[in-house]
Amino acid sequence: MNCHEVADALDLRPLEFLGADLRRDIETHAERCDGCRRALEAESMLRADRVPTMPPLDVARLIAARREHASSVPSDDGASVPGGASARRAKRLLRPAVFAVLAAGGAAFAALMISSEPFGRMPADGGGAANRAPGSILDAEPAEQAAQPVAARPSLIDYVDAAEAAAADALRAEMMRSPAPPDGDMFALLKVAPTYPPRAAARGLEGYALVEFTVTPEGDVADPRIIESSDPIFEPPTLDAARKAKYKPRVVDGRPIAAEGIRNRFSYTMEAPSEEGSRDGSPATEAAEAAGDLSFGEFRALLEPVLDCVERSDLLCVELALDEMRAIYALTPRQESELARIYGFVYHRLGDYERAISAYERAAQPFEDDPIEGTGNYFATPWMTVAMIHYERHRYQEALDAAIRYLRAAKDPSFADYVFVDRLRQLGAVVR
Amino acid sequence: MPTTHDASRFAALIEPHLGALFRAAYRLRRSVPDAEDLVQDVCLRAYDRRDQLERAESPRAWLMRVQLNLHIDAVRRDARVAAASLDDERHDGLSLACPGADGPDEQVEAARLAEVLTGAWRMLTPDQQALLALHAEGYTLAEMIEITGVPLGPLKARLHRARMRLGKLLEAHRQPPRVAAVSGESR
Repeated sequence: MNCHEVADALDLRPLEFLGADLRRDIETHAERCDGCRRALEAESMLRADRVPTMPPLDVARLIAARREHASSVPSDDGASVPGGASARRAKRLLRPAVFAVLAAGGAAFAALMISSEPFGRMPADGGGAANRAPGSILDAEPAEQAAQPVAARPSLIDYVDAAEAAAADALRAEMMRSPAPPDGDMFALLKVAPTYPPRAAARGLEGYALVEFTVTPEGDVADPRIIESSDPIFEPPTLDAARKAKYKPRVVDGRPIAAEGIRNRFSYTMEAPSEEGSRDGSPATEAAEAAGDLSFGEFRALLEPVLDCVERSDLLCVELALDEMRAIYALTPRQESELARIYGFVYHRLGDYERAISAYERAAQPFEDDPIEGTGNYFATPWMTVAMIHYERHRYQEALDAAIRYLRAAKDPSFADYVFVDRLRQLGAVVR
Repeated sequence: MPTTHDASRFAALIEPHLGALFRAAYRLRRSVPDAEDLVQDVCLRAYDRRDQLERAESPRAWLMRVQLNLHIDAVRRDARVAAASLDDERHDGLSLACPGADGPDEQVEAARLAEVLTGAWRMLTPDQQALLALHAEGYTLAEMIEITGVPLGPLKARLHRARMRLGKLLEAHRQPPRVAAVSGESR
């Protein structure tokens, strides 16, 4: 037995509940390993530590007392702030009163006593151990890691990005740590419509082209070649469109492999141009560059104090600061997107998953089809976070939908991302 | 504007979880008054966000998460105050450990162990305290993931590190007191 096995055993259940053989092995190991001996002692001491019975607490009265006190005690800036410093003062001031009333209640007091009964267990389903929540309340480490490489303090935007990227990396590591990544078929993540050749359009010419190519282990298209076409005019746009496609590679024995001889037929038929298709330029890019009150630097500078709130785990403070910023300034769509992502991060930390998902989608959607140059995976990562939130809630179909949107938007998805997709498919989700 | 009806409804929602919250709070704070304060903070915070609590798939996990947030926040915000109140809290620990012990010797021993544990506990980071408190309360890894949001791998690693660190600290706090420290009492 080694130290890892001892730690694993202690993680699962108290020493006294382990089997006799396992317990003997652990104790034998601990005799010659100071670290494990100390860990065992700490474990035993913690388990033996007695927790007193909780004094009675009248929650309704506490709430009522706080409400009354909050309305009569001004906060530091002269206004009553529910849940703020005044509320804390109110709680301390009112605690004796709340408990005194109960103490006078005799039998009623006893009825309200909350015994030290064992915890009722929350659902510990089989998938629970693999679940994860990226916005962990204990995740000071990602922030510290993000701060180390640069001398300057990271901005809140970088902080959120680093924390979510770290969470996604942890999920990927989790996927790859499982006994063997699941095998899975290749399928298309992104198909790009070809450009209709202008000369063919002018002549009203319709047709098709059949292209054959290889899907690499990275999911890219390689060596596309035309097998047949109705007219050579359709061949160049067909090859261009094929090259831009993205696939989830085929996985065999836990490894991605190249798939050769994949064929795709592109049909060219004349249709009345849609209103959307006739628009010039890039809507997302135009929106991103729309004028706002704040330059990029000013926007980041305004977010600095909000980072303080996040670092203090004062999540209410984050929400208030962001709301204030949105109320005061006209923000560009890109800035709105970045705030939406921070909102998503905050809601996720608060455990408000639906609002977190909605905020992340607001952050990513405007730039999904037209990412801003030079932003890397910044606008793709929220999709992975959404996928992880759904996965954590056992909503595998929604998780797969979001994961595919991530893969479409990501610049360099890793193999673990594809393993995640395959696992979701194994759990019953289908590619739509 | 919240009403009395709101407060009563909220109380009915949260009361089944108060025992669990207090047990974890006591382990975190090592003091009954501080644990009470923490649980009350959780109640007030949860009341302000009761719509979220009502929607939570696991209210207990949600409440526990709020509690750990508040604990971590409080420790980081005001470590100085925590250090200043150490003496009072140690007395709380002594008095609380005794009632459950069988006889005078056991009471003395339980008090001594509680004091050692409290001393070592203070040296842990709030994150480590949070994980060890949940673990000591018997929460499974899956439940801890649900509550803390830390994925399995990092969770196990952090729990292991916390356990090892507590072991080291306990050993340091168990060192026999120096003669100078007890000479006044023997007089």
